[in-house]
Amino acid sequence: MTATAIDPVTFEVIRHRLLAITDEQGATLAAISGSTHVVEASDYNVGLYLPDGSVAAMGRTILSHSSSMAAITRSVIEDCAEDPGINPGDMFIVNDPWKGTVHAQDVGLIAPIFHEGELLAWTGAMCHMVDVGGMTPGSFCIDATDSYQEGLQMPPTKLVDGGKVRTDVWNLILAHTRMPATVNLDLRALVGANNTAIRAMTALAAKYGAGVVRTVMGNLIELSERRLRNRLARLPDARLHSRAFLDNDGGLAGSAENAVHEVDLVLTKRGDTLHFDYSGSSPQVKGYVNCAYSGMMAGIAAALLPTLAYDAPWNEGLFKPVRVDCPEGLICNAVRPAAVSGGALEAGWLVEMTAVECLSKLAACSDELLGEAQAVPAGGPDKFVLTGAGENGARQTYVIMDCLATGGAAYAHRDGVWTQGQHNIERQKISNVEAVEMDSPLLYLWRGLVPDSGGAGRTRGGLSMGAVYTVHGGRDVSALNSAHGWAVPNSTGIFGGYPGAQNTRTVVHDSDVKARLAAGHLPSVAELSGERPVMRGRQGLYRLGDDDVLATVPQAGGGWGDPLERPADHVQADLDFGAVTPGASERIYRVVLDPEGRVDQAATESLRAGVRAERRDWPAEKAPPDRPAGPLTRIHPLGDALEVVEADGARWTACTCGFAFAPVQEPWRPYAGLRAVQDIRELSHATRLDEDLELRCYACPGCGRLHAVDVVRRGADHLDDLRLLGGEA
Amino acid sequence: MGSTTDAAERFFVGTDVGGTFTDLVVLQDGRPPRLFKAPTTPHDRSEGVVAALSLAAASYGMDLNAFCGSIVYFAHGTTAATNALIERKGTPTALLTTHGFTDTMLIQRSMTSWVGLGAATGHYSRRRNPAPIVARDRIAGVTERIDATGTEVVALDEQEVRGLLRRLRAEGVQALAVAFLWSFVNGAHETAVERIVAEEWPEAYLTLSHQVAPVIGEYERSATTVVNSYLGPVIRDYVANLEGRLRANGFDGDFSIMDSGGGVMRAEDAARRAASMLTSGPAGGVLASVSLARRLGHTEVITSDMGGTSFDVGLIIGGQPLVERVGEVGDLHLALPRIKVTAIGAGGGSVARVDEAGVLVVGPESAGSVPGPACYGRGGDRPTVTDADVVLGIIDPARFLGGRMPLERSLAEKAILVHVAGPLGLSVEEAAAGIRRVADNQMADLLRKVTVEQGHDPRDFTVYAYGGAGPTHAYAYTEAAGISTLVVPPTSTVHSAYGTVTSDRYRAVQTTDVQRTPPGAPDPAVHLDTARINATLGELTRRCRADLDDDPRVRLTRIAYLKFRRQSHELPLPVPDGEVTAGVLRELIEEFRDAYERVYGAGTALLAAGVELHTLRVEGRVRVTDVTEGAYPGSADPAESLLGSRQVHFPETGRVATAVYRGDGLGAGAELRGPAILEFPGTTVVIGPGQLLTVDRYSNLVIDCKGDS
Repeated sequence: MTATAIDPVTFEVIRHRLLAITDEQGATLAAISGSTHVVEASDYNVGLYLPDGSVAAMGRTILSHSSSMAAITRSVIEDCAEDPGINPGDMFIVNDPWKGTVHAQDVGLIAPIFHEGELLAWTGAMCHMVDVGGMTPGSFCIDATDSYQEGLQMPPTKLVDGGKVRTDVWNLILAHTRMPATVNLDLRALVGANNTAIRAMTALAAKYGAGVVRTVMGNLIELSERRLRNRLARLPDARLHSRAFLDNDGGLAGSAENAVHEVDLVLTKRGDTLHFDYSGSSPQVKGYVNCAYSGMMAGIAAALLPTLAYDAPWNEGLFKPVRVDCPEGLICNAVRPAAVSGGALEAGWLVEMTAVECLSKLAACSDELLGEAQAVPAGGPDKFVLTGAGENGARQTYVIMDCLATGGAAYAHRDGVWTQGQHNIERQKISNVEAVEMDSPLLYLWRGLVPDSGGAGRTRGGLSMGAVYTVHGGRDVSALNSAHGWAVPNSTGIFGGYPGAQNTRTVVHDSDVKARLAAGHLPSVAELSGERPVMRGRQGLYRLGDDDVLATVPQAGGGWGDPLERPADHVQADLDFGAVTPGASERIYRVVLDPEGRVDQAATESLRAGVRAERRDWPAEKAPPDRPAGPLTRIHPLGDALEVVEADGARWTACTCGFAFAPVQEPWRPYAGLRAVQDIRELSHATRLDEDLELRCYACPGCGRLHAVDVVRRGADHLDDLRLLGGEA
Repeated sequence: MGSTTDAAERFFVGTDVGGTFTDLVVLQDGRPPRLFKAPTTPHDRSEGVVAALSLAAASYGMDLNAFCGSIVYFAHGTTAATNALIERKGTPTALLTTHGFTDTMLIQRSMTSWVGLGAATGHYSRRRNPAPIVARDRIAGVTERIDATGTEVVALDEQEVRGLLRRLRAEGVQALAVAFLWSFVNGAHETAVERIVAEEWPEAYLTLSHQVAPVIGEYERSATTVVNSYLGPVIRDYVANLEGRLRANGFDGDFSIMDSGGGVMRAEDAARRAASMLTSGPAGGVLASVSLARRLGHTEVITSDMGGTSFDVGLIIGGQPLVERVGEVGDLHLALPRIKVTAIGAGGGSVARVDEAGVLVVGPESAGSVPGPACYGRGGDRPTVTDADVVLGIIDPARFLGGRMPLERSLAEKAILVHVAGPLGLSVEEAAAGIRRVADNQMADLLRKVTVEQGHDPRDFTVYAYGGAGPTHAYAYTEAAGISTLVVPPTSTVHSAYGTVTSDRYRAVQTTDVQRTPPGAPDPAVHLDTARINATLGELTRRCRADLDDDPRVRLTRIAYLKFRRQSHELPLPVPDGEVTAGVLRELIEEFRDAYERVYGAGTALLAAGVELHTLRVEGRVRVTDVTEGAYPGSADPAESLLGSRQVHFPETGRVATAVYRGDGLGAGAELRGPAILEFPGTTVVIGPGQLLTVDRYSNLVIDCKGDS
């Protein structure tokens, strides 16, 4: 049956039914599992796949799993079709990161759906399991140096054989986890979710015929592909480049191997295709921060879907215009035996950030899609795990999720959203303070929005949530922290916007907090006495005593555009709200405050004019080229302060003030005024910058507007972030 | 009932003010209910209520004053609270909370960026932080702290509170919300603030979190407290205005307001419990269905209400309405137990279009009531589900709303031609049938979803259909969901209003008092503190009775929420009367394990993980309206009500001659086989081809959707 043979009404009815089936699958999974990972963090996914493994419909939960499900289905077909065979009633379990899952904690179960003896489709379900063994409880193995220390990793294995569970395999899995009761339920949840889909799909095929159902699935994929290709075709051809830095590689804190690594993306858009090339990334490293190919694909999916495919059904069709290159052995395509258990939150995270940056800059080349472009969202979290003696003296582990409540990146039309949370979770939730205090030996002293955390810009990054804890009612309490984005701003600004906050953590040992509370005072961290040790990004395990206090600030999204262009009344509103402190308003936004602390409009205008004049004098690397004499005609935007213009038959990159930097075939940065900044505090809430790095600010020699603030290695070439292809008019 | 009216004319009146219509139902002992509809008057909703009362008075041949004077009981549901919250038109309110936690309401547990976005949560550029109901500079941190055990860590700084009150009062604040951490365990600091407010600023409207929502979770508790203060004065004025108008027209009876938790409250209590009125309209429909289900002996029911813009689905399981402990309204999450209703944007006004990829899409966009469907002739030119119904012959344009609002078929045809048939290359009739099929299947998918989410199979349920468009589409969505029996009650067009007047007076009080049993304990029950449980239940019972004026007729239900440790699902379980002993708890835990496995599947109960006793609740109910409704008139012989026949398009048969009946002419015992159309003044009921209709002795239309074909 051909695609056109389905009438549009039947198509729509079956389309809606397929999505409803994935909803029912998800509901079944959540009902049986009951784990907080599944029910609250929604770290699971389900879907329906064509006989070749193509995703036709998927649940709207965690974005990262969308590419994994297709990959593990294909692994099952490849590894099991011959032996042990794929038959009605079979289900195959997979959690090997080199067979498609993002890390071993994500366990997938795939089932063929047969109708009248023929393979109709596949269905699958995957969820994050609380522990799959390995050297660390929870299986994020911070000290691992190879994958063999990271727990059970199953290649495709038949778990259900002709409708009967293989108890031997089931028991083998349970024997490898510290939490067999919970994992047992999760396994049952996966089986139940698949059974729900098998029943519903079989009924659908009985009603409409297998051919019709498969055709609708295929058409859905084509529909998404067409929608993305149409969108891409309307964008100019371009090559984009983004490089993100990953500081620290795992449980090797302080060792010489603990260097700053790179995830490097060159994205080429030609016609209606996208080519992601991560070949410039660092070689795989010893620590647990690598990701396998599946982790890289998950990062790309999480960037692509909400940016360019927000209105298309999320399925395989969105990956058809996409080609990905990355040699094996790199940090984002690590090969065995690299440790990868942290990769989803480390190298995989930065794959997503670089992809968001490149896709945003691509979208910003079109008036139609400019509104979908954003600065870089918050970099990875400072993981916080607490252990301590709880009731009955038994040692308990608590995962504190406050680090996820990060501010979103700025868009052209609006400030970043405060506490938006992880970019790859569509609907994030964190726990109440009371829920954490009931469970764990902690007392919060504060939990709120952190002023100045959002990257500065004409529109501002959203504020992140910080927290201050003290130990309360626990014994032998230890904390474990691990973060990138510690001495590196990951959440960079776009088009002259500044970076958002970096991960920050302050510990005060043996403070006077208890005395102050007893005296009727809720102290701030600054006023506490006590010892403040130097913290590291990968701090590892450390003791928290009864009088100790821990304060954390997560990363926050970057800003959009030159902060000097944030109107004075917006800065006033930020001051009134408390989004920006008076100090930062003067230092970063360059406003002048009157003695009452209000923004003085006139004085601000004049100060800012002076700053712009200074910037016009910043040296450019290259002398200005012979500029076009004729009138400039705007062709398309490059963000909302740079644009492509045509003059005298040639295309130029120009500032909207009218200053033409360079012909579009050439990078524009060498013609811009340049100032390198080593003191990160000048530009952001952060306090540390790795000594190998610097920030480079590029200004328009014509008007003094900032067009880029790049994070680069000292001595490195200018970032060539956006080059239009196809050149002459 | 406090009435001196002549016993011969004792009216019980239920009203529900919706977005478009104000519905009214009149009950009388020994007589069938009468139903009325008047346009809603948003500028002053009491006008629409009086207009509906005037219609009723005329129907009984009485003047308005005499009619109102004969009303012994007036029950009222309204969207006033919901609208004030959604439109952010409440009272200027300040929140006093624990120092250090003033951003709780802004952060919303990180749900702030996606709450209220519905299916658009994947479109990140559209994320936004909702408009706050309390500005950040009116959220004040107070020096005080209590810990999880209820122990005071930092004393309350009373001087600071006095200073804050003076500042807020000077700034024009009129209502206060107080929500401190752990106040539901130890409310002393909140109570102290109440005392200070009484001294400093007695006229301020005040809500304390441990009183309005004494449950764990400071965000949801704070939100509920703030919303209650934000709406309280608005509702106080609303109730005073409506009551004044009723009294001015001679009403002298009792006056109740719908509470979305599961019944009605006295109107004078509504201003104190304004947050409980949110989304009470849909709750009224579910409650009306609960009493209908009891009468019909149905225990498992899906309620479906299809109006102009949305399709609302509720569940009755084991004869009880499904209640959610935390629900989302107006971009906030409120910790008030409410009857759970799930809605999608599918109604008579849902717009059909063909998207750029050539896919036929119906809803969630709605033409609303203005301009409304194209056939309304009010300037709308986009085709809706109602337009499709007109084109297919299901709705008779001349007899819409009993002929009071004739529709224009040609406008419906044109809209469908331009926006759907043309782009898809279909005939107008095929396109109209397509619009219906898409809408009906979407609704069927929702019926399946809400039941599967609760661990049930939709095929074990009966569907009740009401709302203006529900009875028109129910035969199709019921059949498509694989469900056999559909019931359309005679009050279907005013079902929420009927729910207000037939519901019990209701009060629920609850508190969270977490108790956990250790993992692996062979007899978990012995690890729970029975003395504490008995004391808490005793106190809740006392408060619940007091709130119901210690009425001797009150029926109490005691409920405990249990969950397995490290698991998210909790279940409410009835606690038997009498003292709670270890034996009682043992049985409760057994029941919990069984219920858990019934809902989530055999083998899912993780007893070895330990059990957590979470929230205790006491619900009290007092019967209010004690009316034995009389039978509706009508004949068992359908032929007597036959109006004629017209061509109607059904997907299964195409265009076919279909008998049309005057719906209220059909009486108990009538039977007929579809295809058939039953026209009522406020709705059109469709019996699909081959389906069998039986009118039961209460004049419910009972439709076997599978038929025998």
